[in-house]
Amino acid sequence: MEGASGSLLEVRDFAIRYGKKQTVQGVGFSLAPGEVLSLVGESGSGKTSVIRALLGCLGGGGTICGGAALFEGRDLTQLSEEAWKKLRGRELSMIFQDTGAMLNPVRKIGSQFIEYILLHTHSIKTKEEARKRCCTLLGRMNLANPESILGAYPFELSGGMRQRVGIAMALAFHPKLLLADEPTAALDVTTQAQIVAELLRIVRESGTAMILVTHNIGVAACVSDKILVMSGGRVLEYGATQDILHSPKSDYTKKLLASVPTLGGRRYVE
Amino acid sequence: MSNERETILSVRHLVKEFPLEGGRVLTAVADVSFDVRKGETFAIVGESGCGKSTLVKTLLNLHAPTSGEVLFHGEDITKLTGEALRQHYRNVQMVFQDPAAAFDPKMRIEEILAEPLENYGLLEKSKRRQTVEELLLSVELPADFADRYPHNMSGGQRQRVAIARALALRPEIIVCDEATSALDVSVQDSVVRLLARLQRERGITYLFICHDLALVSLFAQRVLVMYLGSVMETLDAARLQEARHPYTQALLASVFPADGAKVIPHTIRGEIPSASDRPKGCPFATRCERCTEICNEKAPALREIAPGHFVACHDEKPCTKR
Repeated sequence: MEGASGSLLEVRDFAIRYGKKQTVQGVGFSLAPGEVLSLVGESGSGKTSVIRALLGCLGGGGTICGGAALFEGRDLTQLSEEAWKKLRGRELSMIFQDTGAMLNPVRKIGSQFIEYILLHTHSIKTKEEARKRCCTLLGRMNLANPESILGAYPFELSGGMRQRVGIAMALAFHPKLLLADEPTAALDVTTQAQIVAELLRIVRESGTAMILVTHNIGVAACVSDKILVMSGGRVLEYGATQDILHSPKSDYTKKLLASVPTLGGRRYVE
Repeated sequence: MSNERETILSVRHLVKEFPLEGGRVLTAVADVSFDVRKGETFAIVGESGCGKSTLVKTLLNLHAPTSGEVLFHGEDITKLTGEALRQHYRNVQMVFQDPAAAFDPKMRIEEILAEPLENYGLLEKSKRRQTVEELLLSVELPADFADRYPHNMSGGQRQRVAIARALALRPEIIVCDEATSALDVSVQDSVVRLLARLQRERGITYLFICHDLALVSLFAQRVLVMYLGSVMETLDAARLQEARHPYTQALLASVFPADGAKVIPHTIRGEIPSASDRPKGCPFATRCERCTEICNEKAPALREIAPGHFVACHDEKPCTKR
């Protein structure tokens, strides 16, 4: 693996445990600015634990029990709560599978988004300015009528629109690193294709690096520079996307790739 | 296998409407007709809100249709009531998307698998254990799983139990409503292989509701594409890539290739309109790139453009796109 020079994030020998049970061990990778890495693997492989740990928000009593995650030289595993507050949202941010679950259901999107902008931006002082900023950000996500979105409650939007709002919020402060946990898994296929394209465009425009957790090998293949395959909490394979797809080394990766249904592939029936 | 198999299920001009406030109507299924042949996998694809779940519930007589017929071996099952309907349910069983929610968590697998047979008085007490073990073996699970509870199994194992339960009554049709979409790809692969083997051995007909076009193209014989309650296209699954309807093409274009081509799929914009506010003309007109004047005026009828290939589109030009 490459050295620390020039890399945005350097994860070394990372280990996570829940109670006494160690679920992730020996995970290591590096990410350059603007690079896209996909973590693929099946449910329970530990991929979500890894990115949650990177954002310092492991749930269910999980703790990081070994290794280091150097973000621009600072070890994320050793940060104080105060230091985290300065990082989250601005330097590192996250989008989840369902943004609707992240938003407060009884407040309009506008009031939550404006509050978020005002809390984190010193240059924006008034609600009116913040509202304008929200509209610009939503417009960038191809949301046709940003004003009406701000006036809506989360449940009034479709899943695809909610996910666009989540991405707009996550990228509001041009973070250096975006962590995306299955951002399109709950969406219809045409919506998924739209959102992946928009996400990738914005990430490229703003030079944000991204770690994408997905079980959709097709999505990983299309968006990422590097792929890391996980199983049972360990790294089975890590390398450039083309190498992983065309010359997988581990049997697990080979089996995983062979199970992906493709148009014009081998039929199950006559 | 012969192509001229017997028609097992025939749907004729099925309509299902739900009344809304203020006298408005939500049309979930709008005049749908199709035939399913015995022993084939008939796939119904479309995005959420296209009416596929309502269609299936209506086919199973869980909803009464607003109009139209569902003929099972020539008999209209929408007219069945009481005991006749209960007996009919033996012929059609279901496998649902979420195997964790499909079982009573307090029942052991033995009780889960014996229940359908006991409901119809088909199980002698002395043979109960043996029958359950045979069912488990038929879905490639160890016989001692009979003593487990659903939460002690993985998602793939639970889905196999769900298939075993559907098999218990030896139905002619099994409806799989997104039965593999919650599973990991390698597990999905093994479950689909199992379904294919059961079909070969027992001649079961599957109604396979699915949104994964790649999977459908590999597992089904026939595909019906729905949009906003209407049939857009029906064709042979093996020829799915020859689809002519702009909506089917958009669905195909949304599939991410896993070959490392690094091409982000280019697909249609926007989202499906509300079923309570259907466009006057073609249901797909609001999102179609090839939409012309007539599309906004008149809904296109299904026409046969090649043997077994039906398309509902005004555009008669062969499309070379994709």
